Amino acid sequence: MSDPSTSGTAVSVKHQDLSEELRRIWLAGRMDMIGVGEIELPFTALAASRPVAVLVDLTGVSFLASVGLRCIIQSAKALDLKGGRMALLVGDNPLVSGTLETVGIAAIIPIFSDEDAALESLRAPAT
Amino acid sequence: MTTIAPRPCSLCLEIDPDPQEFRRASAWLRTAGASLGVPEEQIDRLELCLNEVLANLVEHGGDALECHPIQLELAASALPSGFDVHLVVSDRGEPFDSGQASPKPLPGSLEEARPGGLGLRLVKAFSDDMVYRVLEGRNELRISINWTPRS
Repeated sequence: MSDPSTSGTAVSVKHQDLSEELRRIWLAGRMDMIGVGEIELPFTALAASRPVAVLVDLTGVSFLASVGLRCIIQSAKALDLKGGRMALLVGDNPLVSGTLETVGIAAIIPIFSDEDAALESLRAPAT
Repeated sequence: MTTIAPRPCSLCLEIDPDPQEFRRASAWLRTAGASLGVPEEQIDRLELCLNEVLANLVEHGGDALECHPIQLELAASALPSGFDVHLVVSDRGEPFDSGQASPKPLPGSLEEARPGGLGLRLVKAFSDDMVYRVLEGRNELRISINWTPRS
């Protein structure tokens, strides 16, 4: 994990629409109370504004606190209410995947370490 | 790879009960932990616990918390079966024994998921022991993490 006093603290949110029905959102940096405060509004707007499939890429997240988990869960709920669905991509990020596993996120939002598998899952018809 | 035994010592920091201070506390923890010889993966676990405890304090500590700094102390020592690092968080907020509190059940669906309770679950999962006491009007929460040398 990066030193919070130097690098890796700046949070960012970017997105790309891969198709009409599939959006990818990259979250990066330190998702603590300060970081989440900076990205919560743009992230929620991007994640839950349309009834599409959304892949949230967490491979660039250097620190994930419970406040960040809450932000992701609330956006997933809002997206679900609109008829969309969300999946999380963690890649090779053991601390982030460990945090997600600890709070049982996989039971409510699918988690993938492999990018192709994540995209394939979201492109498949919802069951 | 051989793990080097941590140096028996303790280091302290005082912070204001303000989220803006959390990153200073995290930076201190990482520097202090490294200076005590604590492996980085154990510091990662402790840093997450520290952030969750501080967030809980700011959210639920009440008015009394705001008038007094939060004190942090980090110490490392050798155990018969390995090594220990513990972080003591001391504050004057509302008493709360997070060691005795039970995390909320895990949700089975998005509809069931409710905000709150995740931080406590993380602290309990990422630490090996939590001991709470009230001493001279201050809450003291001691969070311990143990590890064994790898060879």
